[in-house]
Amino acid sequence: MRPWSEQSAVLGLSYFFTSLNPASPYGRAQLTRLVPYVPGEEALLEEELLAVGLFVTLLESSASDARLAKVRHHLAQIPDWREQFNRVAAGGTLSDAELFTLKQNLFFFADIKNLLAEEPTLVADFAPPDFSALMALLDPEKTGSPSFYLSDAYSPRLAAIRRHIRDERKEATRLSLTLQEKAARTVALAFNFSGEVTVPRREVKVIAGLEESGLFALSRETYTDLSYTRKPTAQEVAKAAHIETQKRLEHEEEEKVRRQLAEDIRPSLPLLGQAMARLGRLDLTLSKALLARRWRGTRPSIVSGDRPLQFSMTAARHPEVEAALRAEGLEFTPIGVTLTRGVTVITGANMGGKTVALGTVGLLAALAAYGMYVPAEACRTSLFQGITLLTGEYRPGASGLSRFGQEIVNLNQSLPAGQSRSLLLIDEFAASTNPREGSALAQALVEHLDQTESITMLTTHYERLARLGAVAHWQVVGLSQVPSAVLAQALAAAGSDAINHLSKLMDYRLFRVEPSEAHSREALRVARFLGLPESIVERALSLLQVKGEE
Amino acid sequence: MRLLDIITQQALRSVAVVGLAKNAGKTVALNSLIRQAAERGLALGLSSVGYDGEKIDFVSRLAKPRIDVEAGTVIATAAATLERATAPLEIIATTNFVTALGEVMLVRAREGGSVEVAGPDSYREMGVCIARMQELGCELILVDGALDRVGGAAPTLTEGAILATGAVAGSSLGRILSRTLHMVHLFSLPEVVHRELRVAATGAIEAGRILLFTAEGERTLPFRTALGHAAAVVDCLPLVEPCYLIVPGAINESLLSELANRPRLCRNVVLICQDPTHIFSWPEVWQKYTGCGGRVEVLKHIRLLAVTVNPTAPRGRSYPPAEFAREIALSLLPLPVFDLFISDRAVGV
Repeated sequence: MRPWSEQSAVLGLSYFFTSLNPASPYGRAQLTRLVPYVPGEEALLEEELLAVGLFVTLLESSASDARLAKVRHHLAQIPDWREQFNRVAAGGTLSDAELFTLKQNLFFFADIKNLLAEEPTLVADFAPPDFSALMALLDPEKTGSPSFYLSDAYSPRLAAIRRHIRDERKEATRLSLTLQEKAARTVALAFNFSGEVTVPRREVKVIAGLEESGLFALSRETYTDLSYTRKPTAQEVAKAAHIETQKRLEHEEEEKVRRQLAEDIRPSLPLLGQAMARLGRLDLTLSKALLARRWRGTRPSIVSGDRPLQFSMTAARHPEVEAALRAEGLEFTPIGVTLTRGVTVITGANMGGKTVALGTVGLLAALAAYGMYVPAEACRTSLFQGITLLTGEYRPGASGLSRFGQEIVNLNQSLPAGQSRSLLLIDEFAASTNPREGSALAQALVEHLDQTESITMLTTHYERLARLGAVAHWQVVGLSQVPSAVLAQALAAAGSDAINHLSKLMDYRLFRVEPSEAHSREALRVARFLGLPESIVERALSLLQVKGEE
Repeated sequence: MRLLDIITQQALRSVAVVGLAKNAGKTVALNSLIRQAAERGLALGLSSVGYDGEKIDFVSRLAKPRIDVEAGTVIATAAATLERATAPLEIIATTNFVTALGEVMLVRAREGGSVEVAGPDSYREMGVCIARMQELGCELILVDGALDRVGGAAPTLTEGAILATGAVAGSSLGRILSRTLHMVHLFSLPEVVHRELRVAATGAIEAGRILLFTAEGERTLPFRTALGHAAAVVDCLPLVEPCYLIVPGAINESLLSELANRPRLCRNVVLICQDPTHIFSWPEVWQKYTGCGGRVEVLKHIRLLAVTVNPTAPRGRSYPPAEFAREIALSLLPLPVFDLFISDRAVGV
């Protein structure tokens, strides 16, 4: 049996994951770890659906909707602190920038906590804990501002060193200014702002005076000029060295403060981890509710694990297909179907949406298992051990197998074991081999699957499958409800736009066929509509009649 | 008059310092402005913009420039530069603008000291940083900006610009003068005034479509830029009727030469581009084009406040400072010129 994850793309779940779009790094992290609920976890799934439902209900009130929009806005701004979290846990320290992002996290935690305080139903499960102690640690000056500074308040020693450096610097500047003025008076020259005097080479006397004064050293020269800087005095050199030493001490003390801060933060890690997890869950659950609203979703009702397998949906839509259709100005026709343990066969017109129906069943069953509201008016489903959709999509050469070969290989990997409670969705089995053998194979497969505990839904053109005793038979309404006159008129008007016209006339809904009902001639109607020469269609019709008489 | 006086007299709140070439003395101008602002107690904001090649020294991997700041200065710089600052820094906010040196942060120096400044990569991001530094109370924002080769430049974001030029800009005094004059001339190209034309030009440049604008109407040409098909673009121009040719991206020498070679067309057409930093041409080709009657207008020109000169090139060549500065000041009159290596007063002429 294939694991679920491999089926994600086929089932169209990637569209779901992309559409969820959680706002925060913590929500995104939880999204990547999201797994479906499996049989036996029905109660847990109910809890999750209840949580989503809580948000869905809140979103209906405009006040809560606005509040949750603010929550989401804050979530989107939280910087990711997981890497730093792990570093502190492993005994490491944090840079100022990393301490700043921690403080930012705390600010957003507090903002979200305040917003959630207005939503009593959410506080218990989603509000982040209180961090005022940790906040006080990161705001020693009690400014209440979200900025971070390795403040003097962390260490009296740091404060003293900094004060000392500040005084020494002032003193040094004053000293060098005094000395510079004195030197300038001595040689009667002006310094530029970077502390240089420049003299043209031709001013030999001035240069000699500079050199003799012993106060200057040559700093650079050009063809025409010489530039000098003042030699620092021993006092200045000593002062500069002293400031350097003090700067080093300041640096060491800062490092010490950072280490101590990491120490002081470490005991808060469990609480921080809890806050990140809660906000991640808040984010993801809110994202589910928002998507449920966008998809006009409904809460699936989950069949208890001790009941026989069951899946039913009413007026269901496939959001990805719906979006694609809408982009072309078309509407998605909601479909409904009921499946029970055993095999259900879907027949009907070509281009009648059988494959989409199959995909919609798979998607809805999977969404429900992910604790998501489903795009339908109603949906009732069991939890499945596996959901597999075999679309018969074929890439020539990719596997060295023919289309038929690949189909068999895929089927082999997906055939549920006798007791497995799975959902198997098969599109047009064995349609690419010769019809005699194909239909025999399909019949054998249907008979086999009917003996398992699983639900199988199978689309086919082989009418004999639909006539098998135990099989439930559904059919696409297709063109059967379109009066011949309308069809003829549309046919005349269609021209090159036949496909578009066809999709407008086609009824994609499914209906349950009772065993006695006659089968359709939908393929011929479609072929005619798409412009196959009338003589060929007529001939095919007459062949069918002959066969029918036999 | 000192450099800062020019800025404060016009009450400008943001100024870019750009160099005509590397080592033209951009950092000297910046440091001088910072010192003067400190004396006057102006709340200062600092940043730099440009691609990494311009912002990071490839040998040392250090951001440049390294600048001495006073307590209270706000700086927009990448995270990796913070740890190498000797000034104790308060981290005020993050920006989400990521560079090779990490995310750009807004910080404030709590004590004096030196910082490396490496701001955002893009001009859009720089615009946001300027706005946020203003929100933080900066009265004057100085941007170290490259005049780079890829559209857009710092001076179009700020209210004014200072151009640094010097011995590095050319092999002779004449050459340096002509390049400096050329750049000053481009900065002051006229802005498009006509309202309809402005709207059309802004739209075409945003959409990245070359547009022909005549009294008869507008016509979009099938090119995204003039680069690579100057001749084909020129072939589309009407023979007699006067017209405006709106060029998204750069106006380069091949377009100017192509027009200069067809003087009759040249007289009838006015080229329009985003701003002066989108014109890439040496003085010679430019003069040939304008000599034939060719004109260029821009959507936004650059308010050039002053020029600083550095008479010394780091490898060898140098000029007598007084004569060099005077020569440039004379040819740029009435624009104030400074040799900050000698004095913080404007060069007298």
